[in-house]
Amino acid sequence: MYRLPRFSRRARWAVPAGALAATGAVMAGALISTAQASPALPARTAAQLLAAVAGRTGPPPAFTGTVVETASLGLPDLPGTSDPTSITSLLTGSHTIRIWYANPSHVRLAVPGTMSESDMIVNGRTAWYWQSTTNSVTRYLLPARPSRAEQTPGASPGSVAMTPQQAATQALAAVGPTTRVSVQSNVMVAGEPAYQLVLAPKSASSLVGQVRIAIDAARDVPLRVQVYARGAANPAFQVGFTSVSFVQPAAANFAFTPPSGAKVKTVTLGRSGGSGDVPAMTPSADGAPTVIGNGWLAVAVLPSSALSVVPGGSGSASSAGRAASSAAQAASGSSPGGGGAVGGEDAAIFGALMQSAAHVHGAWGSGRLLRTSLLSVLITSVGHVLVGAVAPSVLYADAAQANRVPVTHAK
Amino acid sequence: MSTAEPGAASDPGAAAAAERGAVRDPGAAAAAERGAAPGPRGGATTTWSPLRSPAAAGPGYPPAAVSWLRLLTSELRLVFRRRRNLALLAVVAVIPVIIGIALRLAAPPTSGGSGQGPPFLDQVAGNGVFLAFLALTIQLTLVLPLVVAVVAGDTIAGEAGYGTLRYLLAVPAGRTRLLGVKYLSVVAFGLVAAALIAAVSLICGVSLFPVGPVTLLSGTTVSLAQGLLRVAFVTLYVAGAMAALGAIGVAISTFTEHAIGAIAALAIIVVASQVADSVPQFGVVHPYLPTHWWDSFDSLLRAPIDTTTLLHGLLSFGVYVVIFGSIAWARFTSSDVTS
Repeated sequence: MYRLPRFSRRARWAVPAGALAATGAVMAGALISTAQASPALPARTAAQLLAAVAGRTGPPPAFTGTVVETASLGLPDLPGTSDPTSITSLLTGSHTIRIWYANPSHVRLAVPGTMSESDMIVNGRTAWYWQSTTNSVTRYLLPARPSRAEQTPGASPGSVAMTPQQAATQALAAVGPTTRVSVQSNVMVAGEPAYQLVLAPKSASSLVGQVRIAIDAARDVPLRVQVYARGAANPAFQVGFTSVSFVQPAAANFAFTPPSGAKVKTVTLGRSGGSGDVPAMTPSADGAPTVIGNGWLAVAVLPSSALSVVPGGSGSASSAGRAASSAAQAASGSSPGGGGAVGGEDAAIFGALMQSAAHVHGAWGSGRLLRTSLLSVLITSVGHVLVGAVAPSVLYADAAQANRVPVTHAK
Repeated sequence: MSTAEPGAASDPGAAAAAERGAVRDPGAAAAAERGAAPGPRGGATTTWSPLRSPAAAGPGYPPAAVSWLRLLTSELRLVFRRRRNLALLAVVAVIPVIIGIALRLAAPPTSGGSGQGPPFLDQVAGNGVFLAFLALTIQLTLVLPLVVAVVAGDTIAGEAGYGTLRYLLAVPAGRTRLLGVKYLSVVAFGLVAAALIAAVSLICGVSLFPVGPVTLLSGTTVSLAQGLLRVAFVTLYVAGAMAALGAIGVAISTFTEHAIGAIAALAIIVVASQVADSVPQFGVVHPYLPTHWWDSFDSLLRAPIDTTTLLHGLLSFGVYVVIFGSIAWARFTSSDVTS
């Protein structure tokens, strides 16, 4: 009778164990290499990096890429944030956007969902917004002059003509009083070697620990922005490329024909009107926020009624607003003036947020305070909403100031 | 420490195997065919040991490829002639018909749709091709995995439960080859089930609804032929997902003599994985869950196709097949078979 050696039967288990170990090793290796790989690049100072970014002229190079936005602000679990196309969904979790960018007037953004997709396509003077879940298309006719919003904030018209060194000096001078600017070890972002520029607020009252900007070494374009809360090891908010290739995307990406059977709506965007239909968070004129303080300690002060215009959508505002205000009243409980009206399903989100808000009071009055790792929100009993990436004490001081200044004060 | 000694019971084994064949499959002599694989059937020679490969067993054996094929054909015949499996396929095939008829009888097609309900539901009324996507999406959540679980969980445990496994091992085919053939039959069953869903949905969709160019999730419209090609790719992707699930099922099946236990365990794994996949707090482990990439076939319905996601999914399936396939192999080739 053949007798099987014991070892060889055991040895067979080495195969699955090896497969498991190899899988684990590859996964860990991938994670570590993306986290710690530090490509060797010619040394550049913070000033040079600032100069390179601020001194860029013209639009960024054409690219195709995938951007992932991750927010872990420490908010409570919010209802209704599973819809990836909703603005509020950006407050929690992780979101993917695929981008095709040829030039400022040929851009396509696709937000993939499970068995769904939303697309924003800018093609010349026409922009299309497609939602597969509702099978609807919105066609925007853009004003003649393309918007200059693509330019980096630092590249004001005057700075374009300057030398990079001057631009750097100017940029450093602008941020210098409030911010420590430094460089950190180089990183790989989406397979591209990148410098890391670190901006850290000097004020201890800011909740922001540091902002890390990864800048592509070859093209001087930001690849990733990470915002760290004070003392946190992981970013509270980050948005960056997970894959990018700097090649001209195919023209087919920008050609859009509304599919047959889809609902098509046309919106003409002038210089002033029509902005109410843009899916954006722009508050309308009467809700324009007042800003108290500057730099890292800037706090936006809104009348609590301004919350109702945040969720966009002009059509159902009145009915949804009524339903929401009752929900908000219920949520805000004992602070009578503190409940803002929030449109539609966002009432539920607002309610969930308010439940985690604490009652606070002081010389400035009383209200409810919502604290997250990165943002503090104070809703006072007199109807101010103060939002800032600052410690609550700053909000209290600003609340006292806001009480003296009428809320309707324009920016 | 004694190894399996199926050869000692060679003649009664052949009888039992033939009997099993008769139970499973009245018309065919599948088990007899297995038993008829050439080679001496004496006690000493048929004593099987995991270390001896049949190819080296002697000049009387056919080339390995032929014997592989013969074993596979025999196994496929068993799987696809079994009444229970045919009933499972019938269930899988009937569901798209029911969905199609229900949608046809329901409210008239509204342009646009509400955006509520399962994905693709609104598109079916405008284009019958979407019935295939709808049926695959719906069945992929539970019905299809359960069907595959039944077949996969039954592979080894079922034979052990019937008491036929040791007689099956009397066939000079080698355990590795037997396991491979069993697994391939599961893969084939998953592919047939997925293809059946797609085919029945398409036939049903064409006969009940208008058919035309297909609007992808990105809002791009492609020709009908392109759309059908994408249906085919989606079907293959789903079959790949089922192949990964089948590997887990076969692995579990090698650990028990009770097929129902393996089936239930696999069903629980599917449900638990789907539940975990829907809890955002477990986001870190989501990409590693066996079911996470199943519905990533939507990547095929975008323009351009999201190959990154698709390859991630296929990679995940492949890793599951390798890991659980090797577990099944290590277990099956080293365990004592007593039933």
